[in-house]
Amino acid sequence: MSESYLHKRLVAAVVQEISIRVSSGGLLFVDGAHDLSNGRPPTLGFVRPDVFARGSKEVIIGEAKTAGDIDNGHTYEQLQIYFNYLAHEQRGELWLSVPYDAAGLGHRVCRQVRRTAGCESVSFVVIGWMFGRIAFSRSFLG
Amino acid sequence: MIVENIPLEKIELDERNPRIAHTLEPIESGARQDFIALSLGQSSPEDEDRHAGTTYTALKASIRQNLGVISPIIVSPRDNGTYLVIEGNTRVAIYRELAEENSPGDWSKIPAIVQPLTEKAEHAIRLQAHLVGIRPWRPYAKAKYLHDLYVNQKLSITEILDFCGGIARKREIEQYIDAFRDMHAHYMPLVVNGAADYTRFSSFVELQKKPGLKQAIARAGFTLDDFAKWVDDGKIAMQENVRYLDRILANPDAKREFLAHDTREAMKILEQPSSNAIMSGASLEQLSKALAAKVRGLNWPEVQSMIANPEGTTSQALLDCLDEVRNLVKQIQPDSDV
Repeated sequence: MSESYLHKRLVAAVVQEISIRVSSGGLLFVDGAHDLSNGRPPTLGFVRPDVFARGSKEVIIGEAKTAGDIDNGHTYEQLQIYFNYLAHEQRGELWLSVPYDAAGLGHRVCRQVRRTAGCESVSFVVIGWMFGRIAFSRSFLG
Repeated sequence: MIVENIPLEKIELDERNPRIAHTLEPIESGARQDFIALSLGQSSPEDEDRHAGTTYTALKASIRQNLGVISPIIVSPRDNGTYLVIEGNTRVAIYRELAEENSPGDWSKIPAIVQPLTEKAEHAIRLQAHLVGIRPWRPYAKAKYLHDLYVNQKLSITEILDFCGGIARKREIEQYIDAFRDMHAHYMPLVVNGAADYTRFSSFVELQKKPGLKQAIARAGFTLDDFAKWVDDGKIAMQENVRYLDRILANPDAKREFLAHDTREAMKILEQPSSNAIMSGASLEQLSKALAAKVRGLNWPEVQSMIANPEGTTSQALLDCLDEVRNLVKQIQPDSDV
């Protein structure tokens, strides 16, 4: 699976999960063509998340990362912006969609960035995916 | 050596495949065959970086193009009439995918060398195939397998080396086994909700590499649990910086920066030239101007502190400096009344 195709699948998978959460009366924005999208997500600072959703009770930012793209300066900056944004919401959540084997790496990076940003009140979920004949995922709360 | 075409439905993928064994641990045994195939099909960061024909995708394309594998897999017959894959799990998984996709070609059988094997012989084949294979294991997977051979299978290091065919070094194997043991003893208990970051394994390998490093950590009043916490908290900014921990912990300023931030900030302290080196390289003019600026910039509490403690080191240093400067100025300006 080429890297961009994998990224698209990770985005599609997390969109599906987030749409279930904000299904009744919520708004969902996806960066790229998607049937469930109400438009492009807003730009936060200088970054645009892959998914932005506003439900009746929560705001969710979704981001997909391939394994080689998690532990770098750009991602740290991105996640810090997201955590800072969500810290100002009554109930903000960050959902990170990654390949299954990289879930631990994603979880560590999210914890580290959240601590550095001083946004310990913001919860996050790392979803590790395996795609093939069937799709398998496991969620790790943070 | 006879190569047979074995029907795919009679082949079982190896649950002990070292490449993915650690991901199978939380999976119920009944679901593992599907999970093995799924897991083998995922790309690894190394595959993503390599951009070479060693990825699962590239291998699948090659097999599809050639209408089959070039090298037969190795299987061991089981009592129930099935065959366990010893080497070639990925190729079997690819055959199954191509069959499900109705890709042109006959994917119902796969060329295999059928070889009844002892458990030791199975280990030898796995090690020889994957330590030099086109898709080598990730370090953690390699260490897990070596640890299992040494601790659970009771093989000696020499026996393990023999299986590797001389391409491994004894010290490297020992470091990998020790690193795996330390990671499991000290890091895994910290893991939140099962999200272990296996990329951190290199930190534990670096811990083994430097002689005396563990003792230096202990001398500084810390334990390996603390080390694991530093790894988990991201304080070891680059994993090779583990080798500098002894110097960092021995330097009070560097240690403070490390505990407050990470090794990157601590290394800035270590890489600074010492103040004595800076001072001795400065000219008298520079030092004079700096001292004058410093004295002019003193605030009242600092002055009060020196008045209250005329025997203190700062006050005494100033008085000593005044004596030296006075003697010099008298030579420069004999008529001055300093």
